[in-house]
Amino acid sequence: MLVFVLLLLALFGMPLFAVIALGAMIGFHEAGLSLSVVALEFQRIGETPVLVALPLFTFAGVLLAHSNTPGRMVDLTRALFGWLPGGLAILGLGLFALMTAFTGASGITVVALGSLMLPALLQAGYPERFSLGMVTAGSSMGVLLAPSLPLILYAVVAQQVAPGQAISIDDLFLAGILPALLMLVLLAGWAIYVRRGLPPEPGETPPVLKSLKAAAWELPLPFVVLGGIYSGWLLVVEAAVVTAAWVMITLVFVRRDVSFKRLPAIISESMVLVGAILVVLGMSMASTNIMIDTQVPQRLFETVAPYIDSQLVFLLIVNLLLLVVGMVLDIFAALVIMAPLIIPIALAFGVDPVHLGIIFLANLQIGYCTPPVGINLFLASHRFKKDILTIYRATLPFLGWLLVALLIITWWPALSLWLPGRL
Amino acid sequence: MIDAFGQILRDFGRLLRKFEIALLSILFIAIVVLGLTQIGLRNLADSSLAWSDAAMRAGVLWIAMIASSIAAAESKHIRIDVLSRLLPPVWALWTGRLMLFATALICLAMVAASMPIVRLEMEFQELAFLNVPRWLVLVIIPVGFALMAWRFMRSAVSFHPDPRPED
Repeated sequence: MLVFVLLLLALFGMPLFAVIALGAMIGFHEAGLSLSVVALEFQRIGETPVLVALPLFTFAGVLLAHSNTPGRMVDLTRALFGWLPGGLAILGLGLFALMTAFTGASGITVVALGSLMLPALLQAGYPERFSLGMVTAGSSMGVLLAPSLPLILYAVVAQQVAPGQAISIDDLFLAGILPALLMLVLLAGWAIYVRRGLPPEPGETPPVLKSLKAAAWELPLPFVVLGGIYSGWLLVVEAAVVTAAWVMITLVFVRRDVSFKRLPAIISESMVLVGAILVVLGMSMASTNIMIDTQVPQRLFETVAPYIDSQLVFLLIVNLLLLVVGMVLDIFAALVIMAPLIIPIALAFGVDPVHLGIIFLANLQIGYCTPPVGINLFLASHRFKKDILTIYRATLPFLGWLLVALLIITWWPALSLWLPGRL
Repeated sequence: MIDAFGQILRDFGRLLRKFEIALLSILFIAIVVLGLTQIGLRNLADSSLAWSDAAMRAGVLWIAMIASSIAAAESKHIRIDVLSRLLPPVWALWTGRLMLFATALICLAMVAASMPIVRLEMEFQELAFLNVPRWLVLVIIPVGFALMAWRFMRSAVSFHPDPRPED
């Protein structure tokens, strides 16, 4: 009954943090505990070390989106790989993945990078429908790559729900690499297939040296950050500090892409995104606590266990559930609401929590471009002034490939778990 | 009279926003500078500031609360909101107002829930980092929720189903 009322409130547009707070308060009250416990749990957003990375990466992403960096990256891609059949599409996918990995919220990618990539693809002779689909679906790539915020957030939630499992962020970062590559390879293969038989990409490509020089300030960043994280030289938070400082110094002080005067507005724009995520997370820490206390996941497990006879069937059901959730909910909200419920059940079925994390995020990533309500579809429709049905149709083949990737990721745990076991 | 009062409220809102944005910027830059110092010390001098991690975490809590207050004013909090689009306009207007009003009440409940913790910390006088006591870090929680309650209450009054530019 309570769940039903909360769901109704959420569907009528009450902010999610308030819905979860209400649920947690009622839960604690019924358990005979003081409401202050909610506040006590909430304040842990100020005690979780890795959350410091959140504002830093988000700021970097928003500032990059406001700068001319996406344009310079597209130029460089065309200069270096314009001659390769399908090169522009393939490298474009790589760029999308990088941009999303660094900004976490892939809505930024569609708007900032997609609007530059689309004309470049059209100019290179790709069909319009393909180009629209690639830009829309491609922008969701990168959720599985370090230092993506959803990966970090999953680790935070998982550590809270299953403290005994010692789920490390570094393991998740490693686990996401091969599944993300699989998605890239499938989409790239599709791009090459579509591109076959077309004449070499026409139009003059920008000169290589000039583009390289133009992007000289941005190019080292992914190497420093990804290299730093994967080699263990930089902690996640340190990598976030370096990224934020690097982007601010190069774009504001060296290049002056963004004037110093606009900095407070950009800081506040990005911090509003962070604040909105953190209050939901803080409230869900309280609601998770009361759910575990009252053994909600265990009861859910006992309810579903008789109907599910294998791990794979369980994971397929999780996939369906998460795809639907991913369609209606923002990725961060979906994460903090669904992960505390699903992780304990999955552990009971013997699923590896790191593998589950990759499945989880792959689903939410795909939810970004699933009709009828995936957010990337609406952003693309709005940004490129195409009606939503055109965007649906354009995105469908890509969606198909992403679903194939999802099935492989689900069915083959080693794809996610091989790297963390090795390094 | 009512006009004058409304003007005062608007002026106050604008001033508050400016103050919040300035505070956010200062906190954010401070976190970056502290982080850089820490990396520099660790790699170059093989030492570190013992208090800096705690200070950065406190900064995140403050940023979260202040930014949430701005998010309340700009209706940027994460919502689902699929049903109200299907309602007739009059219904959408009143359910929207009701939801905002209820949200304001929940924020007030959070103020009440967090006050005892701040008070307890004031008694203990424990330090968060350097000379900054823990209660001073945590006090942003009731303050932040109070600001949010105020913003949601104002939005409930001025709510209109079609998005309008905010003041």
